[in-house]
Amino acid sequence: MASYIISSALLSPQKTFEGTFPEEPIITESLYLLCAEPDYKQIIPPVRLRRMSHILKMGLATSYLCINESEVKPDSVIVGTGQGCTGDLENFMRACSEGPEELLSPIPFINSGHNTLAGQIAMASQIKGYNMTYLQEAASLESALSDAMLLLEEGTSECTLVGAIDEFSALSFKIFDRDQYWRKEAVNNLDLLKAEKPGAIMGEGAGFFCISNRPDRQNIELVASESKMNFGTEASVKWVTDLLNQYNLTTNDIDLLFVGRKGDQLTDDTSYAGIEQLFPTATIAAYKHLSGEYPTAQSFALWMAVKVLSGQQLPAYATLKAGTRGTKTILLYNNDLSTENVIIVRKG
Amino acid sequence: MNRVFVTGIGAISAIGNNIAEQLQSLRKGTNNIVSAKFLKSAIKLPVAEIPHSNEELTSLAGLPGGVTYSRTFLLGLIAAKEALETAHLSDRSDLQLISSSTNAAIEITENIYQHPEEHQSLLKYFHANQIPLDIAKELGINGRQYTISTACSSSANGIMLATRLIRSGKAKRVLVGGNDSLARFSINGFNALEIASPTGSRPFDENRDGVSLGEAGAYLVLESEEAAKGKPVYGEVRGYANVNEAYHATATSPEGKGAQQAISDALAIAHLSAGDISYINAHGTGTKVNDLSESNAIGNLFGDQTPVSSTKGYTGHTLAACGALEAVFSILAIREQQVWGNCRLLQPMSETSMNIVKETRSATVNHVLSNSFGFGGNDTSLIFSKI
Repeated sequence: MASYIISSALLSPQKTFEGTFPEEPIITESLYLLCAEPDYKQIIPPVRLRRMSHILKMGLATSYLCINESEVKPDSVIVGTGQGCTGDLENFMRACSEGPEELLSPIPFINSGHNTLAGQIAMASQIKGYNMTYLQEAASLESALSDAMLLLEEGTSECTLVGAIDEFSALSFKIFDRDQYWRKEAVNNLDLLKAEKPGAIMGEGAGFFCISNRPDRQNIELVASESKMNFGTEASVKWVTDLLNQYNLTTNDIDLLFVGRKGDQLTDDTSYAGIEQLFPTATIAAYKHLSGEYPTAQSFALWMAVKVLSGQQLPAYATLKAGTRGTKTILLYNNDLSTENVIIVRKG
Repeated sequence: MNRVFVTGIGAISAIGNNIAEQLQSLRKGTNNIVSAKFLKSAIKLPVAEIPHSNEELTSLAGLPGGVTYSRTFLLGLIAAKEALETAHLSDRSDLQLISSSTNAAIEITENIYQHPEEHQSLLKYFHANQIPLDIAKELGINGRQYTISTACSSSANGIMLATRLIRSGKAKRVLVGGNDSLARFSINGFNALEIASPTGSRPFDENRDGVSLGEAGAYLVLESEEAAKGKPVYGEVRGYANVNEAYHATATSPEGKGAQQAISDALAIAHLSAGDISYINAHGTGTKVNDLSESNAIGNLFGDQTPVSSTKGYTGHTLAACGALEAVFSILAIREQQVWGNCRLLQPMSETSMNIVKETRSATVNHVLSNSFGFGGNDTSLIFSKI
C-alpha cells in the first residue's frame, strides 16, 4: 500500500510558515539561525501557551497549521526529534545541579520529557490514537516516517501526523563547539556553502507532514524513509544504490537530489560527493545554508520537495546544480557521520 | 502475518545482575529499595539502586577498565549481551536494534556540562543517540536502529515496534529493550512533582505514597517464527497497543480511560478476551493517581478474578527500562508457571477489588498482560503468550 503526503507545514529560519517558497531568503551574518517565529498568541490558546517552552510553541503551532491544511484529520501522532526538549532539560539540569536541591518547580521537568510535544499535540487536537516519539539524532525523522508508513500499511491509521523538530540549544552549541563542529566566525548564510572553512552553523526548525493512505489532488507519494548506522564499514554509494533497487528505481529516475551539505570543509565532500556523482544528470539542491544544521534538518528539504512536487519552482538560492528535466522523483540524502538517512518522494 | 517469538532475554536491576538472580529475588520476595550509595543527590529518598560501582559494572559488561563509561550504557550492554547469549545469536548482520532511555546519558551530562573542557572523552554522551550506537558497535549489530523516547512507556513501545516490524516482514530479528540509571535529574524531577515516595514505594497499597526510582537494563530478542526455527522459544508476543489519553501532561484520568483502551486494543490484536489472561503485570508505580486509575481500568475489564501484581516493589520504577524489564518478568512468569508477588504490599488499597497477588505462587500461566504508562498520556499494553 502506498503512503501520501497530503499536507505540510514548516517553521524555520526562513519565511516558510506562509506555505510557499520565499522570493528572497533571509540573510543573516551569524553563527546560528533561529526560527522566524509567528505570533504564537494568534495560534495557540493562551491557557496552553503560558507554560510552554520554546520547542513546544514551535511544534504545537506548526502542528496546528499542518492539521488545518489537511483534508483528513490525523488519528495518530509521531514526532521525531534529534535532541529533544533540550531547552527545559538544560533549565532543570541547572536547577538541580547549581542551586540547592529543594522543591524545584516541576514545569521544566515536565517539559523536558521528549514526548511532551507529542502528548501536547494529542491533547490540543484531541488525537487519541497511536502516539510515538523517536529521539535519535539525524535518524529521528526517518524513523518517524517509516513508522507512519507501517501504521498505514497495517490499517491502524488512515492519516498520521509526523513531525520533525529541534530547537536551538545554547548548551549543545557550547559542547559541540569543542570538536570543530561549528564555525568559529560569523558567516553570511548565503555564502556558507562557498566558504571553505571547517564547521557548520547551527539552526532549528519544526516540519510537520500529514501522511495518508489516500492521495489528495497533489498526489505526492512517500516512497521510502530509510536509515543506516554509519560505522564507516560500508560505502554510502552502495547503500543508496541497493535502496533504489529495493524500491524498483534506478539512478536515472531521480530528477532532484537534496544533499545535507552544511558548509563544513572537513566533512561535506566525503559525505556527499560520492552520492552527487551517482546522479550526474539530476538537479542538486541544498538547504542547510537556509535552515542551519540541526539533527532533523532533512525535514526542511522534505518540505521543499513537497512544494516542488506541488508545482512550485525550486528557488535559485537552493540550487547547487541545475538539471535539465522536470521533477517527478526526489531523493533526499543526509549524513551526520553516525547515520545516513534517505527519503524518497515522487509525483504519483 | 509472521508470528513473533521471544528467543532471548537479559536484564540487570536492583534485584539481580542477570535473569537467574532476579528470578531468585522474585521467588523469595526480596526487594532492594534502600538509601542510595552511588547516586549523588541531596534528595535522600529510598531508591532501588543496583549495588555496584561503575567499575564493577564495567567489568560485568566485559569491558576493559580504566575508561569511564555511562552507567546507563553499561546497564544496557550487560542486559543486551545476556539476551543475545540466551538467543544463541552469533550472526548479527541482519539484527535490528530498538533502544530507549529517558534522557540519554543524563547521569554523565549533568555532572560535566559546567566544565566540558575537562571531560573531552565523555562529550559524546551529549548526543541523544550515543548509547544505542555504542551498544550496536560493541555487539556488531548492523541492521536498522530505532530509539524511542516516550517516558515510562518507552521500552514497551520498543517491543511493540519490534513486533510490528517482524509481523510485517520488515525485520527478521530485533534486539529490543531499554536502559536507565539513577540520576540527580530524575530524582529531583519526581521530587518536584511530589510523587517520590518518602518511605519506599508500595504499589497498590492503601498507604502508598509515591514512586521509588530504580535503575535497570533489560533487553529481549524477538524473532520471526521462521528465523527462530529449531531454537528454544520463551514465548510469543501476541498483542500490543498504544494510545494517547489526551487528558493531562503527567496524570492519568481517574477512570483510566486510556489504559482501558490500550488493554482492549491489545486483546483485539491478540484475538483474546479478558478471561483468557492468566496474569497481569501492572504498571503500578505506587502513586495515588496511577494506581487508582489503573486498578479502575483493570477492574472494569477483568473484574476481581485475574491475578494482578506490580513488580515495581522489587525493582523500583526504572522509567524507560521498565517496559522491557517487566516484559522479561512476564516471559519468566510463563516459563516458570508462576505469578509474582506484589512486593512490599501491606494493606491492599480499599478502592479496588482486584485480585492482587500477595506472594509469589505457582499458577497456570498462558497469557500475560503487561501495562506501561508514560507521561504525556502515553498508554501501552503488551500481551505475551505461552507457545
